[in-house]
Amino acid sequence: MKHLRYKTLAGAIQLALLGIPAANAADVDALERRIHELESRLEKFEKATAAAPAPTAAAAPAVNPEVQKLTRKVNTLERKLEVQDEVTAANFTRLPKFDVGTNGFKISSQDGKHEVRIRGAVQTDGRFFSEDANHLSTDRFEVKQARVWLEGKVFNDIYYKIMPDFAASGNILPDAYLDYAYLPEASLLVGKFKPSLSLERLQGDSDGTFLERAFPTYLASNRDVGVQLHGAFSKSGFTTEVVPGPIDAKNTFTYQVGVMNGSGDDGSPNNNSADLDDNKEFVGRLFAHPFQHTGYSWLEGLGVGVAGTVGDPNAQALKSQSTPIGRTIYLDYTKNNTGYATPVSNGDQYRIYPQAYWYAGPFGVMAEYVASSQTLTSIKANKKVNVRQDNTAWQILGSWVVTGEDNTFGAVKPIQNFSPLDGQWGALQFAARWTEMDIDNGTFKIVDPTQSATHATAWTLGANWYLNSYALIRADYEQTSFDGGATARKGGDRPTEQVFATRFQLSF
Amino acid sequence: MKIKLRQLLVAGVFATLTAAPAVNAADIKLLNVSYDPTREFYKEYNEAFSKYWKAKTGDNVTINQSHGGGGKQARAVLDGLEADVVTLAIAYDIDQLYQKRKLIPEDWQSQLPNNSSPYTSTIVYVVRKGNPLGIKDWNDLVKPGVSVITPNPKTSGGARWNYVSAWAYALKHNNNSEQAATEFVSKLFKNTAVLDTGARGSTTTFAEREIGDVLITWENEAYLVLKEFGADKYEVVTPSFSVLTEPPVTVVEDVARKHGTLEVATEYLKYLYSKEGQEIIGKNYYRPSDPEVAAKFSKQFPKLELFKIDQLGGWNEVQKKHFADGGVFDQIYGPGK
Repeated sequence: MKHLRYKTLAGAIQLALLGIPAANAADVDALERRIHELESRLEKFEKATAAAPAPTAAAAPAVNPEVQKLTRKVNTLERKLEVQDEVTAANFTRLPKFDVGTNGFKISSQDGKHEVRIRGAVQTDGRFFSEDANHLSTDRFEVKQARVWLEGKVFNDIYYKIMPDFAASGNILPDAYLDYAYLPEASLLVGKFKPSLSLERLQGDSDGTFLERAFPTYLASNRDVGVQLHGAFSKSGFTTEVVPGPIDAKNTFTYQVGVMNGSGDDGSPNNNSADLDDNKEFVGRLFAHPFQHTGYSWLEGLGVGVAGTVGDPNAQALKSQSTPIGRTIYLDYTKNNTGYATPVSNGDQYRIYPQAYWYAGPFGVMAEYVASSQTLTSIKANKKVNVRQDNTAWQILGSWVVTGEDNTFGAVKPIQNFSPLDGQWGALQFAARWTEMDIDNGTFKIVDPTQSATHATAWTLGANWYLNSYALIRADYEQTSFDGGATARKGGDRPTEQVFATRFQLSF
Repeated sequence: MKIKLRQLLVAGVFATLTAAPAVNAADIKLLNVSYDPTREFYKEYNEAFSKYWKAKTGDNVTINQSHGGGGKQARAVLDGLEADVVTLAIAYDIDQLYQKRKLIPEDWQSQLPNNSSPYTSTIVYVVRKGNPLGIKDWNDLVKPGVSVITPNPKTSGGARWNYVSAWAYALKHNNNSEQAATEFVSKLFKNTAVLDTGARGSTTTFAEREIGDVLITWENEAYLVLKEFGADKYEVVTPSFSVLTEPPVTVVEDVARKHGTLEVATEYLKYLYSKEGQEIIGKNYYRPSDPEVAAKFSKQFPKLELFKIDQLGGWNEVQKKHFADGGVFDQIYGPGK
C-alpha cells in the first residue's frame, strides 16, 4: 500500500516534470508547490501510521480519509497535467513551421497557405584581361550582386517576390511582383520582373552556366514593369504544377502574354519605373517540353519555344552593348559621327527569339537566336535622321557535369557537399559556348564606326565547382573578336578581347 | 439477318439501361464536423442515413465524423478543415463561418425548420451514487468544498451552455443583479477542479478518473454516463432551472459545392427532421423537435423550468460579454484569480 502511494505520487511528480517545458512557468511553479505540499503531508501521515499500533488481523481495512483526500488531489493534478498537455499539443499545431537547411530558410503556416522564404545571393567577381595594349578594359574585382530578398505566398494563391540588389548602381530593385496563381492554367503576374523573352535571361541569375550571359540576352530587356498572363498545361493524366513568376521550366506546355512599359535592349527601369510614353510593348512566349512524360528519358529534358515582342517606343534610350564576360562596351551609342546627337529608339520595334535547351543526364545544351529590328533616330543640323537597325545574335552552349549529377536549367545540386577531410569534393561542371552579335551596318550612319564594332564573335570555356547547394566557384576564359570598331587603327578591327574571370558565389 | 441485328441492338440498349444504375452508383463521402458528445448519436444516425440514401438513389454515402469542443471545431473549419456539414453546440460558432469566411449564407439558420435545430437538450448534473453531497440545484455547486467538473467555455460550446445556465439562475435568484451573478459564477469556477477542452473530456475526468463531486453536462451525455459507467455508480440530477439548448446544423455550402456534395449534404441534414431521424435523436437522449416523437420519449425527460438564450440577448451578445477576450469569464477565471 505504501509502495502504491509512492508510485502514484512519483507518477504525478514525473508527469509534472515532463509537462514543464510545455506548461507555462507560473502553472508549473504552482503545481510543483502543490506536489511538495502533498509530499510533506504524505510523509507526516506515514510517520504517524508507523508510530500507531499495528491493526489486528480481524479488523476491516478502513481507508483513511486523509489518504482518500490525497489520492483525489494527486488524481486531479494528474488530470490537470493531461489537459494541459492536450492544450499545449493543440497550440503547437497552430505554430508556424520553420525550415532551415538545404532547402533554404522558410517560415510557413501549419496549413501551408502562407509562406515566406528569406533568400540571398552574393557574387564577387574578378576580371583580368590580357593583350590589352590599348587599355580598352580594366582589370578589376567587383561585387556583381548583393541581394537579400523575400518570396513566398499568402492565402495559398498569391505569390510575391521583393528583391533589392545593393550592388546595383541604378536598378536597385530588380524584382518586385505579385503573381495571382489561382489556377496553374491562368495566372496573373504584375509588377517588375524579367519579360518573357530571352531563354537565357529567364534562367535564374545564380543558375547560369557562365559568369555572364551570351549576346542574344542583351537584345532583350533585362527587367520591365507591366502585367502578364501566364499558364501551363500538362500531358493528360499528369498534374500541372503551379510555377509562380516569369519562368516555368517544369510543365509540359507554357505560355506567357504580357503588356509592358518597354525598356529597350538590355534595359531595366529604375525604381520610379515611370514610362516616358503611352506606347506599350507586347510580349508573348510559347515554350514546350514535347517529350515530357513520354518515357523517352533522354528526351524528357528537351524544351523548345519561341518568344517575341512588338512595340512602338517613343524616344526610348539606347543602352550600349558590351562583351559577355568582359563587360567592355563595343557598341557605344554615345560616341557618334560628327554632328549627330545621341540616337534613341523610335517607332516600330520587334524582336523574335526562337530558343531551346536539352538536358539529359550530365549533359546540357542551350541555343538561342534573336532577330531584332528598331528605328534609330538622331538629330543632325536640327533635322531628324532615321535609320532602320536590324540586329541579330545567336549562341550555343554545351555543358557536362563530370561528377555524376544531373545537368539542369536550374543550379546543379552536388551529390556530395565539399568536405575534403571526408574525401568529398562537391560537383564539377565544364562548359563551352560560341556566341555572335551582328550590328546592322546602317547603325554606323549615326554611330562612330571607329569606336564601335559591327560584329562580335565570342567563344568561352568555363568550369563551375559547386561546393554545395549554395556555394559555387566559377572560372571562365573568353575570347571575343570584332569586325570594325578599331579605336587606334581607323578602318581596322577592334583588338580581340581575352579575359579570364572568376566568381565566388553564395546563393540560397 | 436484319431482324437479328435489330433484336441484338434492342437487347443491348435494354441491357445498358437496366445496368446503368448499378454501373453509375456513386461513392460519396461527407465530413460532419460536430461537437464533443454527439459521437454515439451520429454513429447510429449515419448508418441509418446511408441505408436511406442507398435505397433512394443507389449511391453509397460514407459519413466521416469529427468531434471536439464546439468552439475548437468551428475554428478548425475556419482554418480549412473541409466539412460538408457542421452540427455544433451553439449558433454563434456556426455563425462565425459566415462572419469570418462566408462559407455559409448569412441566412443559414432559416434554411431548416426550428432555426436549423433538429433537437433540443438541456444542462443537468451527474453525481456519484447516493448523491453524497445532496446536490440538487445550482446553488449547491457554489458551496465550499464541492468539486465541480465542467469544460472550458473558451473551447467548448457545451461549457458555454453550462456557464449561462448558472449565470441565468443567479440572475433569477438575485433580482437580476449582474454583480451577484458574477460572484456566483466566480464561486462556481473556483470550485472547478479540472477544465477540460470539451464535454467528452469532462466525462472522462469525472467518470473514468473519478475526479470531482459533480459533472455539469448535456442531458444526453449524463444518461450516457449511466449507460457506459453504470447506473449503480452514478445518478443524474436535474436542476430546477436550466437552459434550453438548441444545437444547430447547417451545410457548409462553399465546401459542399466544391466537393459536389451539396445535394446529399442537404438531404443528410433534412433527414434529421424525419420520423426515423427523430427516433434516433430520442433514443440518444436528445429532445426531439417532432411533437409526436417527443411525446413518445417524454417520460425519459424530467420537467424543469427552461429559459432560452434569447432571454440573455442571444448568442452574439452573450459571447461578446462573457467569452470574448477580457469578458466576464476572463475576469473571474485565470491565473491568480
